[in-house]
Amino acid sequence: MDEFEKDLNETQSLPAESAETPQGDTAEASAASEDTAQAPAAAEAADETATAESAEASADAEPAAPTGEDALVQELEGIRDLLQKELDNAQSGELIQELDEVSDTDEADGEPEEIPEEERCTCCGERRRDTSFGEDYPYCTECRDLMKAAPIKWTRVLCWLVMVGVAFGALILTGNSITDYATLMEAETYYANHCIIDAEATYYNYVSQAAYSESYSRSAVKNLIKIFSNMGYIGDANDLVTQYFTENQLKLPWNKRYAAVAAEYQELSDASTKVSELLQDVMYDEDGFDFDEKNAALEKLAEPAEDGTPGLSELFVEYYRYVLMNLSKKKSDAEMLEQLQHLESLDNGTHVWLYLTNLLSLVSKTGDVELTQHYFDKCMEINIQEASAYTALANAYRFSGNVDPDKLMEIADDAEENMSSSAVPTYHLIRALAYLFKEDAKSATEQMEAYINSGAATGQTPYTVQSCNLYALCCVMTGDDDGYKQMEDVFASADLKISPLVTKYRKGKLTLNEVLTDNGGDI
Amino acid sequence: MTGLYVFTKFLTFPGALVRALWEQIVCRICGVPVEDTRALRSDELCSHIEHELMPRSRGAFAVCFVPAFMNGLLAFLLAISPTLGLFVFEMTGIPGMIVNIFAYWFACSLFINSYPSVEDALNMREKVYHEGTILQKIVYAPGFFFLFIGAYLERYCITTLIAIAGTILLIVKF
Repeated sequence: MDEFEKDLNETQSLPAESAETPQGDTAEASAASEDTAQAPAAAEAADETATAESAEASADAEPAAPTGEDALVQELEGIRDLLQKELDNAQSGELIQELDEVSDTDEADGEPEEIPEEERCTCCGERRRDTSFGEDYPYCTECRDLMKAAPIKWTRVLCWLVMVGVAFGALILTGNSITDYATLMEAETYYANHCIIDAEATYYNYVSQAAYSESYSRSAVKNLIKIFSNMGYIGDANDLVTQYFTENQLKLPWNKRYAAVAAEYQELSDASTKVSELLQDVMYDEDGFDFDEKNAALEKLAEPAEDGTPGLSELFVEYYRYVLMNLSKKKSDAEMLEQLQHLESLDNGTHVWLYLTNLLSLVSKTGDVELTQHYFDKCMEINIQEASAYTALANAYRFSGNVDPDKLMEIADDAEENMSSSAVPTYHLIRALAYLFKEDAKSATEQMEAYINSGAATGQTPYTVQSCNLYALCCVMTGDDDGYKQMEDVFASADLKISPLVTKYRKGKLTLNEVLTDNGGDI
Repeated sequence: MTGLYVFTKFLTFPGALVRALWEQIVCRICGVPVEDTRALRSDELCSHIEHELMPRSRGAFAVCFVPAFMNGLLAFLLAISPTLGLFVFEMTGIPGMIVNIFAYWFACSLFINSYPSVEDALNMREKVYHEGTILQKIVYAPGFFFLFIGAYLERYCITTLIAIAGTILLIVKF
């Protein structure tokens, strides 16, 4: 550009020199003419006259026309302006554009270039393919640009917007269900972790509330029915089946389980009625009754009735035989244990609730830690919140004759970790026993006080014969006469007395170890 | 197989249209020419738009990932309500049930149409795992395997079978 401006400046300085050069040339020419052509002067004069005349005539026609040096200066200024303009255009880029336009125009004006068929754009079929994207690239630059800017169809945007709208609309419609779902997830987590007490409580609360809402979870109802069935609450399970299933639904193959619940309830209800009639006269006899007589009557219930109605199933007959043994007070723990083990052998795992906790309790009294642990594990597979199982295992260690207080503490810790917060905290009793075996009466008393005070938190009375006897024992050890008197009053209110074990210990007739390892069930 | 593929695509056309939308948006952002914008056609490119292959690894990954992510996200949002309303809970209101049925159909159609075409998946493999840097290979790895396998699952209608199986599972479970 600098060179270009230099050239331009040189060009702009031209008029001064040019003004001199042509003028000098004319004078020299005139002089030569004068020197060489003196003869024809007349003729020249005549010519000059003619020229003067024609000049005058021209002056008449164009009065402001410059002549001589002025015309030359004007022409040169015009050239300068044109060059200046071109320089300005070049600096702003217009010059190139104009040149391109000129070039295109020239081509358009000229003969059109013939493009071979194989080199034409496959899209437009007119222009040459743009091979800068590859030798076989099929499109020309113009078509490629158009493809890059292909319009987005509004129907697709509309489709997407409709979907978003439906998503949020549906979420709003089922918004309330999300909190319910969170509750169900909590219940399912309990159920999956074998925390059956908490699962049952959570499901039950949900189902009770859902009965009045527009939607409910059928799976929650089904799970609650399963829990009730496994826990032996057949009546409650049947209530749910009746409420949430129609007769036609119960006929469907995938609802067979729920139909079976209804059938089982009917059978159990009939059996219960018949056995109640059987025991009606001896139910509340403190001395018990003749087992063999009632057992013979029970056998008859197993036989089909005259109208063809089937009798009690073998499983229920054996279960009620155990009930008779228990109520008759004529059978030993060993006989009852044998009966429950027989019952267990008949069951295929669907009626564990009939025998397992009782079996565990009886086995623990034998002090057979290994067998108790076996049934304890079986119980934990179903429900890790079964409080009686922890107590039974602790008792098994206690009655084994080789008590390890630390093991009792371990069982109590497990119980506290797994048991429902709404259940009576029986792990305090296990800890109190462990402290008593360590002869730490103060800590044992603290555990017993914590146990008794838990009644306010759980809403359930913590007083049982065993716990009151244990608390009374702690009071004897710590010399708390007021506490002992309080327990006497509690027993008296139920027309009972403190266990002879405790009273004998108080009188010094029994040692602490003899009291604690007695498996009579008082403590 | 192509006939079944095209049939499932037409059956789930809302998802096909939305996936084509996202593919085209990615192509436009990446400056890649789209040769055919039709989403519903009777060949193996049904539910995809026909575009030139992405020249760079980022674009090759994006044209596979963005439609899959956007369809997957919307499918998830759409599936929440019908899963609760139709399967977990038994809704008694007719309007809610209708909305949920549509939402479930949309969710299934988006899921079935979320994966890239086999061509795009192969191009992604070429660009990312043959030409890409180590960092790109690491960053794109989780999405790459998901999308690459998904492309073949979708090509052979396995995604449709998965959607049907999922529906049956929901019915049985709840």
